[in-house]
Order: sequence, then structure tokens, then C-alpha cells
Amino acid sequence: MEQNYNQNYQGSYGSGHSGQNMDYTVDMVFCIDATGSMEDFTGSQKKIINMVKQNALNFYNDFSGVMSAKGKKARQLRVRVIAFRDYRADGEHAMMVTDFFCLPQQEKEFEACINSIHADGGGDIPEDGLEALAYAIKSKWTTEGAKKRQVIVVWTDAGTHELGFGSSSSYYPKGMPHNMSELNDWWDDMNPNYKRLVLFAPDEPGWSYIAQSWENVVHIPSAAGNGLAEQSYGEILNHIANSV
Amino acid sequence: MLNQLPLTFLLSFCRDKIPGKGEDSFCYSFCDSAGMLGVFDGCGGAGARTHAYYSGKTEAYMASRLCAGAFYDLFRMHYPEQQDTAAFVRDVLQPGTLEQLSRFQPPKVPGTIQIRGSMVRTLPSTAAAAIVQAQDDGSVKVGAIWAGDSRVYILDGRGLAQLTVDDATVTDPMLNIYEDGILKNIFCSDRAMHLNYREVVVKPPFMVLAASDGCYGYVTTPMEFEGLLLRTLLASKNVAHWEQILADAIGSFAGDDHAMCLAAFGYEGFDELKYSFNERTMHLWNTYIQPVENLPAEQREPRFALWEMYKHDYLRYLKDGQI
Repeated sequence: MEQNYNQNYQGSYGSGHSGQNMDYTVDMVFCIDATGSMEDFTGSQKKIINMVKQNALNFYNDFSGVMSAKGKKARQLRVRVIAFRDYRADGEHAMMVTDFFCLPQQEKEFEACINSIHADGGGDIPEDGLEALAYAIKSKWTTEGAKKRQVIVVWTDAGTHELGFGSSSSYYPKGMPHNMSELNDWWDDMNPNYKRLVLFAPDEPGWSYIAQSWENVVHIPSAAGNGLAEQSYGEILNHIANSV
Repeated sequence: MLNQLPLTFLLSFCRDKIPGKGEDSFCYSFCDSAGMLGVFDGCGGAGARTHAYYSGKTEAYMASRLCAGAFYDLFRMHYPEQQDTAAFVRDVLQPGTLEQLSRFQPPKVPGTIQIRGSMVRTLPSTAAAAIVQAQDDGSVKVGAIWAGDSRVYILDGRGLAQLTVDDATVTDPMLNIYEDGILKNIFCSDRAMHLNYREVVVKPPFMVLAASDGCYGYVTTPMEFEGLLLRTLLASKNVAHWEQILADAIGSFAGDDHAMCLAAFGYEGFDELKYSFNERTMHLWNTYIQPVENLPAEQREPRFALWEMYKHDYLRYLKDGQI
């Protein structure tokens, strides 16, 4: 009997019964502020919107790389894009919402989608970022996989309007939460073990409240991540990948 | 005269998933009548910030070492022999460790963007330790101390038993393998926390171990962790060999750093200990391990059914409803 264990203890744990082989499925939703102020230049004379688009295009690859370095492999990785502006000022152009792209299979379609975003409109300074977040929370998250992760990333250079600010627009969607308390409930309804929220957003009303009071939030208090050192970007990836 | 602690041997290891970047740590200290062994797992998700102040190491890396150092020092300097361990944990260990963390807080660097949010903590680490103390009647009092999801176990002829309850959104040990609950209570220097304490009295012979989640979290059922302990035990030639092949076996599949301290009490020697687990190993092997290993990796339901049988003994030190 002892010889039997001796022969088997290593073989059996290296042959498909370990947790390392448990599959992760990762869904990400990218909420990108597409208003005119995102045309401003960063400290390195690059337009903020272009920096964000590049970050969005790189994020899933960088994230997968960090996961892989830690021995965690995503069996399925999907990304959905939401570009948001201001319902009162931009009407039918206030929100662009896509389905999930499966990556890397739909990488070209995903890139085309990101590259099609242009910064325009927005009206006043705050934007309808909370409506974008509401859309993101209500995504059709995957039900497959042993370990599911649902990551929402927001890039914006502005604070938010109160929910419903743009409801006078005929393009304002039905079924939105009526106030922050209701949006809180929507976030609370997501599985706490799966959900993560990353905010590249200034310390402005709306985002500051969420960063302080919602679970599982990482907040980078700058205009859409502008001024963030490369080292800090790596830390953000680690915050997410290490908690997956 | 104080009673002698019947310590047979102690083993420990702390392995990095990525060499040089491991965020686990451990410590142990023994005197004639009492001892302490513990593991500490710096929380890489909450403590990913790096600092030049720490030569580029993460706060998670620093936190586990600060906690281990504090536990070691506080136990050696202040543990009152044959006194109230719960009071020591409450009055000395918890405040003393928090004081150590706050003393080593990294300075804010002007002009840099400070990452924050509810997922981010300053110097976050789990802790799981056992304080063992010889009793007048020959038994040993085992005080399990913990914050987070590092665990303390007893291993004896009835098998492995968990003494701690994870401070996480998922506390069921089987479900936690699949769900990866979020930690709710850990050491850190920027939020309130508390050390949990549970005390049991155990008749030797037995083993007590503290383990980080890298040790137990990458098998598909809790019984496989016991299987791993026992199969490596039976395959080993001596304590040093067991330490090595146990660490190697865990490292072959773990997706995380892994630290363990294990102490055996009341055995005549290593060979007697090995022999005493033959029957248990055979039962575990036939009843749980072989059936699990014959299952395809994706089949959860039969695993959960076996867990329902296994958990009766595995949770024997916990009251109903605590998991």
C-alpha cells in the first residue's frame, strides 16, 4: 500500500486534478467617455481619448499577461464596449453599446470598434457616466466556467450627472435606475466574488462616492488615467489579476 | 513546575510562485511548555502598491513579513505561560501587530497619483497561527488565531480538521475552492480589523498545522489536501524528506505562494507517526481520493456529494452553522 501512494502522490496531482486546471472565464466591460473634453492633450502631448483607446486595446492583453505570469489562465475572455456622452446634449449619440467580443477570436472587430470612437459633444462638464455604468452592470455576464470574473473599467475625465439628468431626452433609455441608491442596489446584486470595478476617473462627484462606498473598487483619481506612471499601471493590473 | 510540551518535530516551508516576489511568510517559536507557529499571506490584490521605500517590493510582500515578525516578537516577549491565551491575543497580539504595521507605513510621495478604493488596503496580510500549551493532564491546549483565509488545522487519526473559519464572503471550504470568496477581515493599517480566536484541548498524539491558501486552495476538494498530506507522509523517509516532498507536491500545482508550519505532538518518533496514519490513509484513499481522481475535472456534483460525507469529521471542531 505504501508503495502505491509513493508512486501516485506526485503523478496524480500533476495529472489534471489540481485547481490550476480550473477554468477562469473573464468578462470585461470598457466604459469610455467620448465627449469633446477627451480631445484635450495629456502631459505628453497625446490626446486623452487616444491614450484611453490605446489603454483599452492593451488592457486585455496586459491583463492576460499578468494572469498568465501568475499561472492563471482565462479559458474565455470577452470584452464589451460602452462609449458614453450626455443625453441632453448629444441625443441619439449619447451612448454606443456593443455586445461582448470574444478575444482573441474577434480581436479585429474589437479593435475596429475602439478605433471608431471619437471624442465629441458632451455639453456641460459632467457626463452621463452613471448610465454607462448601469448598462455595464446589467451586461449578459457569462454563466460558464468554474471561476467567473466580471470586470468593469471606466475611463473618464469628468464627474457624473445625477441619474436621470438626461431623462428629458427622447433617447434616454427605459429601465435605468432612478437614483444612486438604486444603482448601489444593482451593484450589490452582482456576485461579490466575481465583480471588480476599476475607475480611471477624477475625484469628482459620483465617482468619489462610488470609490468610497462600493465593494471591490480600485480608483485611480486622475483624468482618465492621465499622468499615471507606468509603474502604477502595472500595480492596477496586479490589483485586478491578484484578486482573480 | 510547568508541564513539558510533548513536541515530536516541526516542519515548515515558504515557497514563492514567482521567485523573489513571494508574499507569504511564516514564523514559529517554542519553549518548554508552549509554542507558537503561524503563516501570513500578504494580500496581493489589495496590497499591489509598490514603494521605493521598500526597495520596490509590494505592500503585500512587506505586510506578511511585518506580521510574522510581530507575532514572533510578541510571543517571545509577552506570552504568559499557563495564562489566558485569549487575553494575550486580544490585549497584546492584535494591538501589537497593528502598531507594527502603522509604524512601517510607506510615506506618500508628493506628485504621484495614489491608487485607492475599497479593494485597496495599506499593508494587508492574512494571519493564521496556533499557540499550543501543555496541560496538567497531558493534553495540549491549541489556540487558533486568525484573520483572513489562512487556516489552522488539526491532523490526527480521525483525519484533517479545520479549526478556523475563513473571514471571507464564502466560508464553506468546498465552495470556496470554486468561488474564491472576497476577504472581509485582514491585517492592514488603514481599516479596522479583529483577530479571531478559538481554543480546543486535544489529547496527543496529533499534529497541528497553519497553512496559507496556496497550500489548500488548488485542489478540487478539501479531502485532496488531506490526501496530499498523508500520501507525502507515507512516501517520506524522515521529517526533512516529508517537508521537501510535501512542498514540492504543493508547488507542482499551486497557482500561488504557499507557506506551512506543522508541529507533531506526542509521537514516539517519525516512524511511529507514519505507521499511525496507515489506516486513516487507506480509508481516505478508498472512500474519497480514488473516487475523486476518477472523475473528469469538470464534474462538480459528485465532488460535492463526497464532500457532504467528508465534512462531518473535517468540521468536528466547529459548531453547527459556523461554516
